[in-house]
Amino acid sequence: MQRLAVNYNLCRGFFTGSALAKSACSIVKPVHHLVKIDKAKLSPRFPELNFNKNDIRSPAFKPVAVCQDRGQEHYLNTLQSDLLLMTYSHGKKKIEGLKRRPWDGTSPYHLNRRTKNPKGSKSQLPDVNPIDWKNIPNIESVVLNCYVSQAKENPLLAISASLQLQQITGVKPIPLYSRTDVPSWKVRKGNHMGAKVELKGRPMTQFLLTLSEIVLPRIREYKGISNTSGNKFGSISFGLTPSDVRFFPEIDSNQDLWPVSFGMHININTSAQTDAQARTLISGFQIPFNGSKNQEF
Amino acid sequence: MTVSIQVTRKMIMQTSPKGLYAGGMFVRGKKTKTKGSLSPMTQRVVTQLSVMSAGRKQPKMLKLSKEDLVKHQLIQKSWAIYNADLRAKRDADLEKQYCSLRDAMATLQEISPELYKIANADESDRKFPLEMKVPTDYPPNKVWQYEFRSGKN
Amino acid sequence: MLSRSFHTSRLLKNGKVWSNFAFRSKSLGINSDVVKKAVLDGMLASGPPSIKRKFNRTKYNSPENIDSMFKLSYDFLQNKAAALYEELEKIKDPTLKDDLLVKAEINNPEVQYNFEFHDKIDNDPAIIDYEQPVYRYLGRENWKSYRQMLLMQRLETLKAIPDTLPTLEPKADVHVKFPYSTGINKWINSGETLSTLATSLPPVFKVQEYDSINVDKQLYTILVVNPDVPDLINDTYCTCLNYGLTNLKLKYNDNIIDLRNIEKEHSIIADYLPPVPEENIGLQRFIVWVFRNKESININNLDIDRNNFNIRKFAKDNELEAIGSEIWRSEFDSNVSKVREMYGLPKGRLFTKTRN
Repeated sequence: MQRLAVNYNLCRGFFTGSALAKSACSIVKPVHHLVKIDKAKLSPRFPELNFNKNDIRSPAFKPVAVCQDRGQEHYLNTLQSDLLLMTYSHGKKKIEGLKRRPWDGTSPYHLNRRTKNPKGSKSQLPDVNPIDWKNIPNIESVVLNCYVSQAKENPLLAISASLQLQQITGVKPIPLYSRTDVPSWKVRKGNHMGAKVELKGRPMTQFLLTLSEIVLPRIREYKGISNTSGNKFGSISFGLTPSDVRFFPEIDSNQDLWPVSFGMHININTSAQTDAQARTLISGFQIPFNGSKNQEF
Repeated sequence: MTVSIQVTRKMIMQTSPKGLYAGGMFVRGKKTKTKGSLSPMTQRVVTQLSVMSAGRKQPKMLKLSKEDLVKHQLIQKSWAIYNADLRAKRDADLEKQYCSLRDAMATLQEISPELYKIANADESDRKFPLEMKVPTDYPPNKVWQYEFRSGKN
Repeated sequence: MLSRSFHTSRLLKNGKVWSNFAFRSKSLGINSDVVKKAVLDGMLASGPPSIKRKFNRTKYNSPENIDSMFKLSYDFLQNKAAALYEELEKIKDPTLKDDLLVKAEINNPEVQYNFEFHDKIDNDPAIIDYEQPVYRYLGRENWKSYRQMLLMQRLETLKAIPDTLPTLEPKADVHVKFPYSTGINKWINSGETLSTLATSLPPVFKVQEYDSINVDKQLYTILVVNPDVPDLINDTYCTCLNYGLTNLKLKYNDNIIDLRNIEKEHSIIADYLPPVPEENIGLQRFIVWVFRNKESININNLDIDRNNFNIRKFAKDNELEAIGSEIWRSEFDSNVSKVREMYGLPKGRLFTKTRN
């Protein structure tokens, strides 16, 4: 490619019939400089779109930090240093996760062959590093997932479920559609089946605190989240039934507007590396746990 | 949000030109539009959709004068720098805590292996007590200001 | 020096560095007293002075509490700047010093106001003074955000880079203008097609340096080349040198290169030859190259064939470092014959529309 470019440079034919004017093959045009060009910035249209998103002149400007975040402050002032103390283990080494196994090279065909799956797993697993001041577990996001199985008969219910999520969290939900046909459940592909919402930052801590201070204490004979819940990598999931959801103050104060309420799944995604660390972290937000301890790591 | 929309609708109906003031009394004109043939259930969903839609909820873009723009940028910048300082201080504190934890444990290991064994026992899945509350502004630490006197006395 | 540093440290005691112009340039403050008052001491009762119409001015409402919040933030950042100025007194290394000066002034609202709302190309040194590291920093960022990208895109798409010099690592902003009654009185955009009448008289260049360099010693060379002159015998094109200037001195603020303000005896390599494209050969590119000289060039020792000019060899022989470029294009039009007459050039060739 480079040689072609050099040739082009040295001898351009003036006449269209000259041999040099004919290219022998199509080439990707080389770039001769190191300056990164953002073509969107060069367009004379919509100059206001060239501002950064945090510039008040940009149409995408959104004010952040408009009020105090009680949960975040609690985490920074109390939980963070306590978690460092609680999860510290002297002389702990990195535990390597399962990794793909290379071939031993006894056959020439091993060269370029795909490495073997890890033992007992289809994919590689992450390492577990000892906790230090840089990787103290923190809650990254909370995902509320509301799937309404009756929506296959009455698609309007999915809209109500979506509004319910918005009322509870104050964040705009994303509609969920069924991905495949499931004849036994009478689900058709592409049906509007519910909604989900991903919470981060202040809406997230606000939701968690409402949950732990108002909703969970009012649930009859509530024992707590199961100690076995979790995906092994630091995400904890649990569910709320339609009757539990009625205890959210936004729903509770408008009972007659909500003849039906919808249950939901709550996934708490943390930066913890094991479920045990994630549970320790979540328990700092007054969320009770239930079941025998240390069933798994 | 639904409530506020209903309230505004009510207010619009009261102030709409169909209603007339006659001799200081409010007389409602004849209804020209029926509610439509929507069932109450569908009507409810239409209202719900209008609550969720973005229409007429986007606030107007602020137009700042040159002076105010510069001021705004300075405020934003100083807030960012202030927070970066706080973050740096917090990280430094945590690092200090970690280092002293490590040093204390190393010393304990040398002095008393039995105590070290107890101190370094596996405590994974330990929980915070349920009684630990996330602090709130209210109620305050001091519930009643007994010594309070108003300015006059 | 000692008395000066003693002086500054005494002045710095109260921490109000940004309102102190005893040891800082005047250009680091807002020129107009009214605007300065509106920015620093809270909005005037008559409204923001930057809004010209009285009706709009009285109608305008500032965001609530912006002034009190501004005061708090201003004091916070000014204290940080004061600490940087104190640190500055201990530092000897000039590049580190410049970096610190940029850091100390970059958040100054007066500097931001000056740079944001005033002309950055035809700058007034009382407002935007490119001798101040902070304005050079802001200028470079501004240049990188648009003009530099535009130039590199045009150089690449018009294939100016491999056709004349192999590449360009841009360091300075180059502007070209044809300011006479025949010309167009604006800094041209890269790659623009200009009429031959507009380009009939020598252009004016403006080379804005953003790096810290020794302004008194550094010399520059400017070459304007046209790589699209048909060479029928070899069935190719050759490069023509249209204009050549060397041993030029630039300043950060006064950096316009005009025939009137250069020493003609030892700086003109080649007199201006205006673009006179022949008929039916399409658009010709005219590429301005700006170089930093390693040392002064004696133009009497140069042996230049301007009709078959090798710019790469010339740059290599004279140890020139390319720092900036600009490009325009010209096409045959009705003014060509007039321009040829003006310069005593022979009548141009006429090519057929299709060449085979």
